[in-house]
Amino acid sequence: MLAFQAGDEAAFDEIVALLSGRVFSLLRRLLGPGEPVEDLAQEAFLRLYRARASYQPRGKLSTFLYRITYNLALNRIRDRSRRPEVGMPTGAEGEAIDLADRRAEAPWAASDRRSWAERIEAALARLPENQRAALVLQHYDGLDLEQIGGILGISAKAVKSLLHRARTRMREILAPYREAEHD
Amino acid sequence: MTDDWIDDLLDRHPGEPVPDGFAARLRRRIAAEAEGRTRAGAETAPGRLLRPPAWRWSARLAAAAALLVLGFWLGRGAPPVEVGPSGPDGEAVTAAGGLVDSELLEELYEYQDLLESWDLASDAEAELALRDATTGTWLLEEEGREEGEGR
Repeated sequence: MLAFQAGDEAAFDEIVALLSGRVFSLLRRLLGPGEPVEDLAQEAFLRLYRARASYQPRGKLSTFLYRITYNLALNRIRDRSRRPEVGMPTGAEGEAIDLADRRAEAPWAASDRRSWAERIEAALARLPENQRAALVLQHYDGLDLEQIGGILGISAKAVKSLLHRARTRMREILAPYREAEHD
Repeated sequence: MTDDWIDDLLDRHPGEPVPDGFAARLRRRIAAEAEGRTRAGAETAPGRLLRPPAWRWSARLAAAAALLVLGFWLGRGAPPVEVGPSGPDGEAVTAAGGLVDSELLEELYEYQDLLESWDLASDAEAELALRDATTGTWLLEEEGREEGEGR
């Protein structure tokens, strides 16, 4: 990032190549299945590009980018909860089925059709946003409590509590799949 | 049950693959934004040229200061405005806040001549009268006599 700040445009391309996979995965895990994520990923990198002049290298660049990405995802989730989107899946009567309905679906229903990735995405989607983000950032991105707290804007203690609740909830949601697999 | 199995299950999520051509699309978007900004800058540039020169700002400041001084001077020259408290229909209001009785006012005006001609004793004269021992004794004697008679 320092090279990019100094005017090296190729350094930005390296940042994109290095971190775009993490940004896409974070967005997918935060937003759930079926949600287009490329526009948000572009927006996240665009904001990083714009922040070139004001960026202070106090923490890791990836953490800074995660914070941007998390805020974008949160805005999308809130927008989505306010209005049903065009192109959402529709029911037999043509009514929109929002993600809350899909989240409420019994975990064993249509489980055969789903891959594990989809099941995990669906399970994550049933968590509150902050619990989901805390769990994803800890498990997939290996961030510590302080770093997660910095991204979510809460204390490390609050992150610990969120993680405990998230794991408890995930256990409840995924236990039937696990049992079915062992049977 | 431990959390290990949760972590194992979470590990089964492979992540989201980056679509082909993402970096190129991002570059195009950045270039488009930069171009838009340049165009917007070029559109605002003529406006900057039309900005009034510094002497015009000085003239405006001087005019504003002159108006301020004039307003202050006019404000000082005007007679003080005394607006007494008044009731809802314009009647006079006493200091205590009550409305003045119009009949009382009429009575006062009726005896105005008498009141004006009344020569009130000054505080100094009244004090001298009290200090007059003779008068004082007489008053005390009068009171004592009345008391003796009462017995």
